[in-house]
Amino acid sequence: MFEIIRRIWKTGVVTQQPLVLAAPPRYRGKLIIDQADCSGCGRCESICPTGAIRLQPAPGGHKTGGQKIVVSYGKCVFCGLCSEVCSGGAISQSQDYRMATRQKNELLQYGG
Amino acid sequence: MEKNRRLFISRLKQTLTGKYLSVDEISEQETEFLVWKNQLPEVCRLLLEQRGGRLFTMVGGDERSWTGTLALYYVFAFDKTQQFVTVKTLVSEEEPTFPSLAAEFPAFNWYEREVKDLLGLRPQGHPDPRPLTLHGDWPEEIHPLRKEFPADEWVARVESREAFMRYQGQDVTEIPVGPIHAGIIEPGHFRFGAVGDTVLHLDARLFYTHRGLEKISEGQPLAKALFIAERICGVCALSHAVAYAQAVETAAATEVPLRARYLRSLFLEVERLYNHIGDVGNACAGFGLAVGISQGARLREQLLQLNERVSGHRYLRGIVALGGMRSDLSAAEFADILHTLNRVEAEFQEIAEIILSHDIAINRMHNTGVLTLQQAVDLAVVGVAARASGRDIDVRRDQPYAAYDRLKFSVPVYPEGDVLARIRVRIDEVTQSCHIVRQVLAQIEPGPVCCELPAIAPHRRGIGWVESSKGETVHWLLVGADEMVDRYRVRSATFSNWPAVPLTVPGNIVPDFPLINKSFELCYACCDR
Ligand code: SF4
Ligand code: SF4
Repeated sequence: MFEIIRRIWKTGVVTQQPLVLAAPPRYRGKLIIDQADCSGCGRCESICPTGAIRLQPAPGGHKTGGQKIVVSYGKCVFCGLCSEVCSGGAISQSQDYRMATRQKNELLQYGG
Repeated sequence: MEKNRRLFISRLKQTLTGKYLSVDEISEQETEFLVWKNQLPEVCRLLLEQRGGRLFTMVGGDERSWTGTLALYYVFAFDKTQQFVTVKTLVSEEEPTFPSLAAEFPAFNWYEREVKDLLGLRPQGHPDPRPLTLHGDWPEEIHPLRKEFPADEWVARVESREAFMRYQGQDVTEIPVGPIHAGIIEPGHFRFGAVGDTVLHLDARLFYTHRGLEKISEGQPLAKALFIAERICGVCALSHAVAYAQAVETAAATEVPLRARYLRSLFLEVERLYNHIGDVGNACAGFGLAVGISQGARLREQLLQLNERVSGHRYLRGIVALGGMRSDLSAAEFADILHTLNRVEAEFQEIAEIILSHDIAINRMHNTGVLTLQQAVDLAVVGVAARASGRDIDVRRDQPYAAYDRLKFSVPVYPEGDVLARIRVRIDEVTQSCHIVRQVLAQIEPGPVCCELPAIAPHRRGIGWVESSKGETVHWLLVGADEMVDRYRVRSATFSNWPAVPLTVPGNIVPDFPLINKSFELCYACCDR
């Protein structure tokens, strides 16, 4: 009994500290897509395990024959393979993990 | 090694003279004997009883497109020689039956019922005709693992054929529990027959989370199936990923770089640690020792945060690649691992002592939910549950993979088979895992962490295995054309251990069931797939 109380006393309050604000550097979060660097090679699209990333006809995107990268965070599992294979360095991964939204269409991110 | 292997195989050929059609070397560790299906029982009996093999996994496959028949593979492990023997038999579409071994060797029970559900191959003489992997409302004549069945087909359900133990006599109370539970746990239906507080019999109905993962892997490129493997289970994600990667690497006859093997061992031990520590804490919920639950959860959380810092993912997903690891660790990260582990280990020891010196805790765990050695052997129980019942198996030692052949550790074994023994095994294994991690950190040398895999020819096979925190997990892979998955069978530790749980409950009181269940700590998702 004494040991238990000592342990509880020593541990103190665990949840008092603020929750983690920034994710660690290795964390694989939201993608950053730089459409200007995209060559339209389609490697991201073919490696993506969940079909979350696509090249899609859109205004702009001149280098790529009028196509732009679109990611759906409804499907993305943040594996980071697309940024690993991207030939032009158009995709990188940030540590941003706050992506909750009330609108389904806000889960789509277009290359900018 | 090579000499021992030759000797082993020639002796085996002698034992099986006249009982097989051909022998084939599948990989450095696996030899295949093709037999007629009526010879199956005799061959399996010889391997199990005379040669000291143990059932590792059993797989059924639809190979009509290239051999014209369906096939069954029985894989036996021979731990002394570190070899695997596969007994293969062909089953024709016209006569889709095979002799059952379940009455003689209960370990075959679930495998045979699963093959019947998913492939329509009927085990003749099987004592239990009930469906297993598919539930009773699934039409009996539709077999999803047959190649002609489309993975996205919607199937109209029929009237259920589910059956449970029927009790006669007025004193037996039936208590149905689940599949939807009060806590956030996975779905399983438990039906107790109890007299007063004492349980007479327990029926456990699982496979509510059967997602057809093996089916959807078929036709996927090998690299993409890795993502499915990683999502079979929440808490053994890494074990499944490594087991799958090893199966692919065996099929490609490639050895991954040494540094990658060390890193795999390192992360696999961290996965075991966060599971064991959390599980020991959770077991305290079985007898209401709140301090144990919260301290276990707190330490587990520290390890999960460590995972996130060094791998980018709390549950270690996305770090394994086919051919090695996706990224390396820096010296600072090794230091972080060592520092966190030392702290967590010291605190865990203190909590373990609190639990093990608590009279009420011991009283509740001692002699509760006993699994005998005989039951463990008969059902081929693996992992913590096996070692707590005196069955001394651990594939890290017996069939080393990753870097375990270079690491020293002991395998704790307790003969009692009760809840307390299972908790003790976990507590001891925490110490051993920390010991292994420290050895990895001391021994690991610079080098590449990934290698290119050569092209894999169609119909090459590979087996991968890992001792996850639940026990040995086996992934069996048959590669098809264009490096796609043709057949992928996952036999997780929980698939081997679930059949044992209901045997340990009769004679105990109903309120002890949560404790017994927690002491096995079997996930449903990787059993059901
Ligand atoms: S991070 Fe992975 S899942 Fe997400 S878009 Fe890229 S490849 Fe697809
Ligand atoms: S891989 Fe990179 S360059 Fe190629 S299509 Fe995708 S974003 Fe564009």
